[in-house]
Amino acid sequence: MSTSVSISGGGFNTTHWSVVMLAGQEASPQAASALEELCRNYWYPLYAYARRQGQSSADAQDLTQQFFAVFLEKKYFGLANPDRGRFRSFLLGSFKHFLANEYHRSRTAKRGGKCAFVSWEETEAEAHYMNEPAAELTPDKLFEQAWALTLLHKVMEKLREEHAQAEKKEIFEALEVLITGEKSEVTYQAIGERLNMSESAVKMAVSRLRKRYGEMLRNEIAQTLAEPAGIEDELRHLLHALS
Amino acid sequence: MSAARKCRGCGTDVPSNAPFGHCPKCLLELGFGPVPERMDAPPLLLAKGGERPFGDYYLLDQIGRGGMGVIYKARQVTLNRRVAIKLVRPDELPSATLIQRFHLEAEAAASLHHPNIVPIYETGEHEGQHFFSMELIDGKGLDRYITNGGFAFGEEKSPRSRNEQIARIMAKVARAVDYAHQHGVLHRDLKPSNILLDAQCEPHLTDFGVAKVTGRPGSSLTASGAIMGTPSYMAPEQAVGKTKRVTTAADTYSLGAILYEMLIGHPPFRGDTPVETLKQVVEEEPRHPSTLKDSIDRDLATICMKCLEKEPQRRYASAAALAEDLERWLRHEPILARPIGPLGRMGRWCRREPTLAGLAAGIGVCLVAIAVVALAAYRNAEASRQQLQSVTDELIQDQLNQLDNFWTNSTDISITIPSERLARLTSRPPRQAGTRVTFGVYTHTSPSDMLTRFAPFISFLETNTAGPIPLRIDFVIYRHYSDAVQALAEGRLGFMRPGPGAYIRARQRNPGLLVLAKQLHNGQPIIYGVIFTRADSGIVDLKKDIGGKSVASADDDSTFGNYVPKAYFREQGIHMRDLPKWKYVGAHDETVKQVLRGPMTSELQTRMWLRGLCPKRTSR
Repeated sequence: MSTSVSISGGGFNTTHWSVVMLAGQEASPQAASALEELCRNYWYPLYAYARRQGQSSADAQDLTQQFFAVFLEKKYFGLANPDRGRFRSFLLGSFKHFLANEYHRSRTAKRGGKCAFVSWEETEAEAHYMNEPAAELTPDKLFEQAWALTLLHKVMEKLREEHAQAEKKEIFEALEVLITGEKSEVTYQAIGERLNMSESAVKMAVSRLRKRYGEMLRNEIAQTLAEPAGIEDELRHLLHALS
Repeated sequence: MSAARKCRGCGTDVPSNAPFGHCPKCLLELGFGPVPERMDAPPLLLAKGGERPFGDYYLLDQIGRGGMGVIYKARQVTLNRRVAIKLVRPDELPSATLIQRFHLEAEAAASLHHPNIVPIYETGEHEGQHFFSMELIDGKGLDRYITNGGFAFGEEKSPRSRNEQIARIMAKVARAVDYAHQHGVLHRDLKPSNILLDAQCEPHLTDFGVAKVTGRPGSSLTASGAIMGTPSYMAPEQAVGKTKRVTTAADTYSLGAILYEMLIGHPPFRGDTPVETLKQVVEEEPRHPSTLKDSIDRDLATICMKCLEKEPQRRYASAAALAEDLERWLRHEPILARPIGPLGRMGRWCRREPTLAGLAAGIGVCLVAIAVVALAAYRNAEASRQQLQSVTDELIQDQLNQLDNFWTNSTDISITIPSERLARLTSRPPRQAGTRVTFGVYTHTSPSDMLTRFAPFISFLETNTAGPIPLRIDFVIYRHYSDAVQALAEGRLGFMRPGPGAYIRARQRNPGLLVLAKQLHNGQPIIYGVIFTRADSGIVDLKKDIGGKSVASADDDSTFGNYVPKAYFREQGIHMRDLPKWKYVGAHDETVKQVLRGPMTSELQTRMWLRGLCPKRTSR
């Protein structure tokens, strides 16, 4: 699992969004793949935004796809945008811009056969959307919530993947329920018996799992920021978004 | 949307699409690590220990938390005093209503100056965080002194002196509550944990979190009909969510419930679930304390039972009247409350069982007096039924939650809810006969969500297909879209309503499936109403009923959206028999009329196209 990308050959490690921002308009393969990965990870919040704006499922899919086609060409990167520091804000800002100004033009371009796609499971997207809270949320708020949930889900998956690669899948599956400490009906003792571990060893393992989740979460957030120093602020922002 | 469960960690709602089912807020908190890097930042979720500067205060330990806020022990720097400080949970900040309620609590309590009410010092906002500070009571909640044997404080006492201690505490609390009532404040959540006892066993009333300031518009900031308070101590009129009927008498009831618990060791009603408790509060009479414990003082039990009367007007006229009766008992004077005699008990039975009572009266077994009571009870029956409806709603919600839990824990590919069960869920009699057809949907996460959305739709179909063959529609919820499509293709499913947007894929996979209708609004596809059936669906009996051209379409926003296209066709003078390929069903005249005069009329603007019928829109 790659959490950082090296550019300039100088050993300068930085995060995805900063790679993209640094690369700017230049055609850097690292930046292109970093951007594509970000888009693949965070398309759903845009889809949910479009749906909440009243677009049908099929149109939301089209719009999101067409937007990415334009976005991946980095057309928006030259625009003066105070939100550039955060991929989240930049993405939504660009999407709004796209919806307001460029949708029709891009559709014409699509007919001409020129488009790039980010693949996803559309059925799943709609099933997911159908479980979003009812209409009281604004599209912006829904976007932010969906963003936070996508992010948290992503990190959980990465954590699971990491355990699977280290052949600790069984441990992850047994301990995962305790990661937030809220599903307290499962006791450490019961899990210990299942895994053939002492209760204190289970506690230790859960504590490590939480710590690792925290690290990976910060890492994941850092990938969406140009300045990793803003992680705390972003965490706070997402916490509010979930209210 | 199914009801979210509460996180046991932070108490907030966990959405049904939470990552791996975990509370998202608690997951996010893991990102902060054990020590926040910015010490000047507002505390997050306020769960961490350690001294933390907060304006003029230093927050010390967390000493309590409620639905709205977290209470800290704190030190006020300028006045060098210890205080208790309550902060709105930061995750709740965006709700203006909540902040208003929070300040209302502060305001309600701040207007009260009584030795047995915890005084408010200051209310305000610091760095976006709303708070108020109050006197720090060095003591514990009354609930901490109640065991199975009842209330016990300090050294062991004789039954009489223990009872005197109970009466003295409750008389003071009742006086404090009456004082609040005199100042226009209803507490509405009186319970042992909201009464703090200091080292001298002096009670201090706190937590006006769900208080209501009477006589001021907008002062009741609870959602309409929402049940506020704690079930075991809640008056019946409060339990059925009739907030407008909640008066000072509801607080008197709660005082009675607290007195009951202090005498017996448990509150008058306690079910396995809050809903069960609420049901008992509304429907059952409390057991008389003397039937539960031999040593109970008869007069104290009588006082207690008078507070617990189901009808507010039969309780003490005020909390002060309760206090006076308790004080009379303390002075060894006769109390004013009277125990309930046999006639009174019969009257109560009549009110609970109006039908039986009426029957009994009708065959002349009972006294004439009882018949009169029964007649009055009949008149009240409708009102009681309505009150019970909200409790029933809660019970249904409970069943829905069970359904979701089952879904989460099982590996079955589908779950079928038969027509009869659906009928019960929508409170109508089940169909005794009729052709069974199946209607399928799919959901990964929440079958209860699907059920609540589609149950009215299916009910409507069942009760409005008035042709020669009545329908009984079994509702099948699939876990996976592909299984549902497969079932449809194989004829195990009569109809299916897939998630909007999935239809293209489905058609690619199975050309035998037909998309029958798609709605547009002002030319914009804001609503998709799509229902699949097979061209050769082979639903023979249905054919007789609705012409064999089975179609129904539902949209995201309206259960009855599927009737709009039918009405539209009527308006356009299109006869269903003329449709060459797309077998659109002709609606029953009555249905169309209903649509035309019903709430959907505005949506008759809805334009729709059917491929092969109207010109296909080229822009799509």
